[in-house]
Amino acid sequence: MSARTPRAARDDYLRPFRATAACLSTRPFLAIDLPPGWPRRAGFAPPDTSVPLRAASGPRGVSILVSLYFVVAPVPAEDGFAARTTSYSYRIVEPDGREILAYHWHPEGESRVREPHLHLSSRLPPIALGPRFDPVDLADMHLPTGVVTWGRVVRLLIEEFGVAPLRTDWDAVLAALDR
Amino acid sequence: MSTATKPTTNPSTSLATPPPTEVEVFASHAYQRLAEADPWEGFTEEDRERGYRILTVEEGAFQFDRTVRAMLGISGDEFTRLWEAGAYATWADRSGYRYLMDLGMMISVVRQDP
Repeated sequence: MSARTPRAARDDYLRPFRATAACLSTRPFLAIDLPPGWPRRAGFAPPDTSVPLRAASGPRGVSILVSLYFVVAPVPAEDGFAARTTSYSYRIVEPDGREILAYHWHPEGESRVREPHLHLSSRLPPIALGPRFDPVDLADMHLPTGVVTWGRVVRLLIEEFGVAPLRTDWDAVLAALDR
Repeated sequence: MSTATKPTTNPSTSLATPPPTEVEVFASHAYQRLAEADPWEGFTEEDRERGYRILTVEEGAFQFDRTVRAMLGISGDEFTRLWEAGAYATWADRSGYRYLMDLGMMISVVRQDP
Protein backbone atom coordinates (compact mmCIF):
# COMPACT_ATOMS: atom_id res chain seq x y z
CA MET A 1 0.00 0.00 0.00
CA SER A 2 1.38 3.40 -0.93
CA ALA A 3 1.80 6.39 1.38
CA ARG A 4 -0.04 9.68 1.05
CA THR A 5 3.07 11.86 0.78
CA PRO A 6 6.70 11.44 -0.33
CA ARG A 7 7.79 12.08 3.24
CA ALA A 8 5.52 9.36 4.59
CA ALA A 9 6.80 6.95 1.92
CA ARG A 10 10.37 7.76 2.92
CA ASP A 11 9.61 7.12 6.58
CA ASP A 12 7.72 3.90 5.80
CA TYR A 13 10.89 2.73 4.08
CA LEU A 14 13.39 3.88 6.71
CA ARG A 15 11.50 2.78 9.84
CA PRO A 16 11.86 -1.00 9.33
CA PHE A 17 15.38 -0.48 8.02
CA ARG A 18 16.32 1.20 11.28
CA ALA A 19 14.43 -1.40 13.36
CA THR A 20 16.45 -4.10 11.64
CA ALA A 21 19.71 -2.26 12.23
CA ALA A 22 18.82 -1.95 15.89
CA CYS A 23 19.12 -5.74 16.13
CA LEU A 24 22.87 -5.21 15.67
CA SER A 25 23.86 -1.77 16.85
CA THR A 26 22.63 1.24 18.79
CA ARG A 27 24.07 3.57 16.15
CA PRO A 28 21.54 5.77 14.35
CA PHE A 29 21.06 6.20 10.66
CA LEU A 30 21.50 9.17 8.36
CA ALA A 31 19.53 9.63 5.15
CA ILE A 32 19.78 12.36 2.55
CA ASP A 33 16.54 13.97 1.56
CA LEU A 34 15.68 14.64 -2.08
CA PRO A 35 12.46 15.15 -4.03
CA PRO A 36 10.55 12.20 -5.52
CA GLY A 37 12.41 10.48 -8.32
CA TRP A 38 15.91 11.36 -7.09
CA PRO A 39 18.06 8.65 -5.49
CA ARG A 40 18.48 8.93 -1.75
CA ARG A 41 21.01 7.27 0.48
CA ALA A 42 20.81 5.79 3.95
CA GLY A 43 23.45 4.28 6.19
CA PHE A 44 24.85 4.24 9.68
CA ALA A 45 26.27 7.40 11.23
CA PRO A 46 28.99 8.60 10.92
CA PRO A 47 28.73 8.00 7.15
CA ASP A 48 31.01 5.48 5.44
CA THR A 49 32.55 4.31 8.68
CA SER A 50 32.46 0.73 9.87
CA VAL A 51 30.22 -0.32 12.73
CA PRO A 52 31.92 -2.81 15.08
CA LEU A 53 29.58 -5.62 16.06
CA ARG A 54 29.76 -7.52 19.33
CA ALA A 55 30.36 -11.24 18.95
CA ALA A 56 28.18 -13.60 20.97
CA SER A 57 31.36 -15.42 22.04
CA GLY A 58 33.42 -12.38 23.02
CA PRO A 59 33.81 -8.62 22.96
CA ARG A 60 35.01 -8.18 19.41
CA GLY A 61 33.61 -9.42 16.16
CA VAL A 62 33.26 -8.35 12.56
CA SER A 63 32.24 -4.88 11.42
CA ILE A 64 29.68 -3.78 8.84
CA LEU A 65 29.48 -0.92 6.36
CA VAL A 66 26.11 -0.20 4.79
CA SER A 67 25.06 2.09 1.96
CA LEU A 68 21.48 1.76 0.79
CA TYR A 69 20.09 3.79 -2.10
CA PHE A 70 16.39 4.21 -2.73
CA VAL A 71 13.92 6.36 -4.61
CA VAL A 72 10.52 7.63 -3.65
CA ALA A 73 8.23 7.58 -6.67
CA PRO A 74 4.56 8.30 -7.34
CA VAL A 75 2.14 5.38 -7.50
CA PRO A 76 -0.51 6.85 -9.83
CA ALA A 77 -2.92 3.91 -9.46
CA GLU A 78 -3.11 4.54 -5.73
CA ASP A 79 -2.67 8.30 -5.87
CA GLY A 80 0.24 7.97 -3.48
CA PHE A 81 3.98 7.39 -3.16
CA ALA A 82 6.24 4.41 -2.44
CA ALA A 83 9.95 3.87 -1.91
CA ARG A 84 12.06 1.13 -3.44
CA THR A 85 15.72 0.12 -3.24
CA THR A 86 17.79 0.97 -6.32
CA SER A 87 21.30 -0.09 -5.24
CA TYR A 88 23.30 -1.10 -2.20
CA SER A 89 26.64 -1.98 -0.71
CA TYR A 90 26.83 -4.22 2.35
CA ARG A 91 30.42 -4.92 3.34
CA ILE A 92 31.36 -7.21 6.21
CA VAL A 93 34.92 -6.45 7.23
CA GLU A 94 37.56 -7.50 9.73
CA PRO A 95 38.41 -5.11 12.56
CA ASP A 96 41.31 -3.72 10.50
CA GLY A 97 39.05 -2.96 7.54
CA ARG A 98 39.96 -5.95 5.39
CA GLU A 99 36.93 -7.16 3.49
CA ILE A 100 35.47 -10.55 4.37
CA LEU A 101 32.63 -10.33 1.89
CA ALA A 102 30.62 -7.67 0.12
CA TYR A 103 27.15 -7.74 -1.38
CA HIS A 104 26.95 -5.17 -4.16
CA TRP A 105 24.32 -3.89 -6.50
CA HIS A 106 25.34 -0.85 -8.51
CA PRO A 107 23.38 -0.67 -11.77
CA GLU A 108 25.31 2.46 -12.71
CA GLY A 109 28.96 3.34 -12.30
CA GLU A 110 32.48 2.11 -12.93
CA SER A 111 31.98 -1.63 -12.69
CA ARG A 112 31.25 -3.77 -15.74
CA VAL A 113 28.92 -5.84 -13.54
CA ARG A 114 25.55 -4.16 -13.08
CA GLU A 115 23.61 -7.07 -11.56
CA PRO A 116 23.54 -7.89 -7.83
CA HIS A 117 26.64 -9.87 -6.87
CA LEU A 118 28.89 -11.08 -4.07
CA HIS A 119 32.61 -10.52 -3.52
CA LEU A 120 34.63 -12.90 -1.36
CA SER A 121 37.68 -12.17 0.76
CA SER A 122 41.07 -11.79 -0.89
CA ARG A 123 42.42 -14.03 1.88
CA LEU A 124 40.96 -17.02 0.01
CA PRO A 125 43.77 -18.56 -2.01
CA PRO A 126 43.18 -19.41 -5.68
CA ILE A 127 41.99 -22.98 -6.18
CA ALA A 128 44.50 -25.04 -8.13
CA LEU A 129 42.88 -27.21 -10.81
CA GLY A 130 46.02 -28.98 -11.89
CA PRO A 131 48.99 -28.30 -14.15
CA ARG A 132 47.00 -27.88 -17.38
CA PHE A 133 44.50 -25.38 -16.03
CA ASP A 134 44.52 -21.86 -14.70
CA PRO A 135 43.70 -21.60 -11.01
CA VAL A 136 40.25 -20.35 -10.03
CA ASP A 137 40.49 -17.11 -8.09
CA LEU A 138 37.20 -16.62 -6.28
CA ALA A 139 38.33 -13.34 -4.74
CA ASP A 140 38.46 -11.71 -8.16
CA MET A 141 34.96 -12.80 -9.17
CA HIS A 142 31.56 -11.16 -9.14
CA LEU A 143 29.40 -14.04 -7.95
CA PRO A 144 25.79 -13.45 -9.03
CA THR A 145 23.04 -13.19 -6.44
CA GLY A 146 19.46 -12.01 -6.42
CA VAL A 147 18.69 -8.70 -4.77
CA VAL A 148 19.83 -9.16 -1.15
CA THR A 149 17.84 -7.29 1.46
CA TRP A 150 19.33 -5.61 4.49
CA GLY A 151 17.30 -7.95 6.68
CA ARG A 152 18.96 -10.98 5.07
CA VAL A 153 22.38 -9.53 5.80
CA VAL A 154 21.46 -8.91 9.43
CA ARG A 155 20.24 -12.49 9.72
CA LEU A 156 23.48 -13.74 8.14
CA LEU A 157 25.51 -11.76 10.67
CA ILE A 158 23.60 -13.14 13.64
CA GLU A 159 23.13 -16.74 12.53
CA GLU A 160 26.39 -17.39 10.67
CA PHE A 161 28.93 -14.83 11.89
CA GLY A 162 27.93 -15.17 15.53
CA VAL A 163 27.10 -11.51 16.07
CA ALA A 164 25.26 -10.94 19.35
CA PRO A 165 21.76 -9.58 18.68
CA LEU A 166 20.82 -6.54 20.74
CA ARG A 167 17.10 -7.35 20.70
CA THR A 168 15.59 -10.51 22.09
CA ASP A 169 12.87 -10.34 19.42
CA TRP A 170 15.35 -10.06 16.55
CA ASP A 171 14.01 -13.15 14.77
CA ALA A 172 10.48 -11.77 14.72
CA VAL A 173 11.71 -8.35 13.58
CA LEU A 174 13.60 -9.87 10.68
CA ALA A 175 10.77 -12.24 9.79
CA ALA A 176 8.33 -9.33 9.65
CA LEU A 177 10.62 -7.48 7.28
CA ASP A 178 10.86 -10.44 4.93
CA ARG A 179 7.11 -10.84 4.64
CA MET B 1 61.57 12.18 -35.75
CA SER B 2 61.21 12.28 -32.01
CA THR B 3 61.57 9.05 -30.10
CA ALA B 4 60.04 10.45 -26.93
CA THR B 5 57.49 8.17 -25.36
CA LYS B 6 53.97 9.45 -25.76
CA PRO B 7 52.05 9.64 -22.46
CA THR B 8 49.32 7.03 -22.33
CA THR B 9 47.28 8.77 -19.63
CA ASN B 10 45.98 12.25 -19.19
CA PRO B 11 47.96 13.76 -16.28
CA SER B 12 44.95 15.73 -15.09
CA THR B 13 42.86 12.60 -14.61
CA SER B 14 45.40 9.94 -13.64
CA LEU B 15 46.49 9.17 -10.12
CA ALA B 16 50.05 10.10 -9.17
CA THR B 17 50.15 7.14 -6.79
CA PRO B 18 47.83 4.19 -6.22
CA PRO B 19 44.99 4.89 -3.77
CA PRO B 20 45.45 3.59 -0.23
CA THR B 21 44.15 0.11 0.51
CA GLU B 22 41.17 -0.35 2.80
CA VAL B 23 43.52 -1.45 5.60
CA GLU B 24 45.62 1.70 5.17
CA VAL B 25 42.48 3.84 5.21
CA PHE B 26 41.24 2.23 8.43
CA ALA B 27 44.63 2.69 10.09
CA SER B 28 44.87 6.39 9.28
CA HIS B 29 44.34 8.97 12.00
CA ALA B 30 41.94 10.92 9.79
CA TYR B 31 39.67 7.91 9.35
CA GLN B 32 39.87 7.01 13.03
CA ARG B 33 38.80 10.53 13.94
CA LEU B 34 35.88 10.26 11.53
CA ALA B 35 34.85 6.84 12.84
CA GLU B 36 34.97 8.04 16.44
CA ALA B 37 32.82 11.11 15.81
CA ASP B 38 29.58 11.29 17.77
CA PRO B 39 27.04 9.38 15.63
CA TRP B 40 24.21 11.35 17.28
CA GLU B 41 25.66 14.72 16.27
CA GLY B 42 22.89 17.07 15.12
CA PHE B 43 20.03 14.79 16.17
CA THR B 44 16.87 16.37 17.56
CA GLU B 45 14.73 14.62 20.15
CA GLU B 46 12.39 13.49 17.37
CA ASP B 47 15.33 12.12 15.37
CA ARG B 48 16.63 10.27 18.42
CA GLU B 49 13.27 8.67 19.00
CA ARG B 50 12.95 7.29 15.48
CA GLY B 51 16.68 6.48 15.22
CA TYR B 52 17.50 8.34 12.04
CA ARG B 53 18.10 11.86 10.87
CA ILE B 54 17.30 13.33 7.48
CA LEU B 55 20.10 15.41 6.01
CA THR B 56 19.63 18.19 3.49
CA VAL B 57 21.48 17.88 0.19
CA GLU B 58 23.98 20.47 1.49
CA GLU B 59 24.59 18.48 4.67
CA GLY B 60 25.00 15.33 2.59
CA ALA B 61 27.56 17.06 0.38
CA PHE B 62 29.43 18.25 3.47
CA GLN B 63 29.52 14.72 4.90
CA PHE B 64 30.72 13.35 1.57
CA ASP B 65 33.52 15.93 1.41
CA ARG B 66 34.55 15.16 4.99
CA THR B 67 34.61 11.42 4.32
CA VAL B 68 36.63 11.72 1.11
CA ARG B 69 39.15 14.00 2.82
CA ALA B 70 39.54 11.51 5.66
CA MET B 71 40.00 8.55 3.33
CA LEU B 72 41.93 10.01 0.40
CA GLY B 73 43.16 13.43 1.51
CA ILE B 74 41.41 15.22 -1.37
CA SER B 75 38.17 17.18 -1.57
CA GLY B 76 34.85 15.66 -2.54
CA ASP B 77 34.85 17.78 -5.71
CA GLU B 78 38.30 16.54 -6.70
CA PHE B 79 37.29 12.94 -6.08
CA THR B 80 34.17 13.44 -8.21
CA ARG B 81 36.23 14.92 -11.03
CA LEU B 82 38.73 12.05 -10.93
CA TRP B 83 35.97 9.44 -10.62
CA GLU B 84 34.09 10.78 -13.62
CA ALA B 85 37.32 10.94 -15.63
CA GLY B 86 37.85 7.24 -14.93
CA ALA B 87 40.93 7.64 -12.74
CA TYR B 88 39.62 5.05 -10.27
CA ALA B 89 38.24 2.66 -12.90
CA THR B 90 40.96 0.07 -12.40
CA TRP B 91 40.75 0.20 -8.61
CA ALA B 92 37.16 0.70 -7.49
CA ASP B 93 35.91 -2.85 -8.06
CA ARG B 94 39.08 -4.56 -6.89
CA SER B 95 39.56 -6.42 -3.64
CA GLY B 96 41.19 -4.17 -1.07
CA TYR B 97 39.87 -0.96 -2.63
CA ARG B 98 36.11 -1.36 -2.65
CA TYR B 99 35.59 1.58 -0.31
CA LEU B 100 36.18 3.58 -3.52
CA MET B 101 33.03 2.05 -5.01
CA ASP B 102 31.07 3.15 -1.95
CA LEU B 103 32.34 6.70 -2.41
CA GLY B 104 31.65 6.61 -6.14
CA MET B 105 28.08 5.44 -5.58
CA MET B 106 27.48 8.41 -3.32
CA ILE B 107 28.29 10.89 -6.08
CA SER B 108 24.89 10.27 -7.65
CA VAL B 109 23.24 11.65 -4.52
CA VAL B 110 25.42 14.54 -3.43
CA ARG B 111 25.92 16.07 -6.85
CA GLN B 112 22.21 16.70 -7.31
CA ASP B 113 20.83 20.15 -6.92
CA PRO B 114 17.10 19.74 -7.47
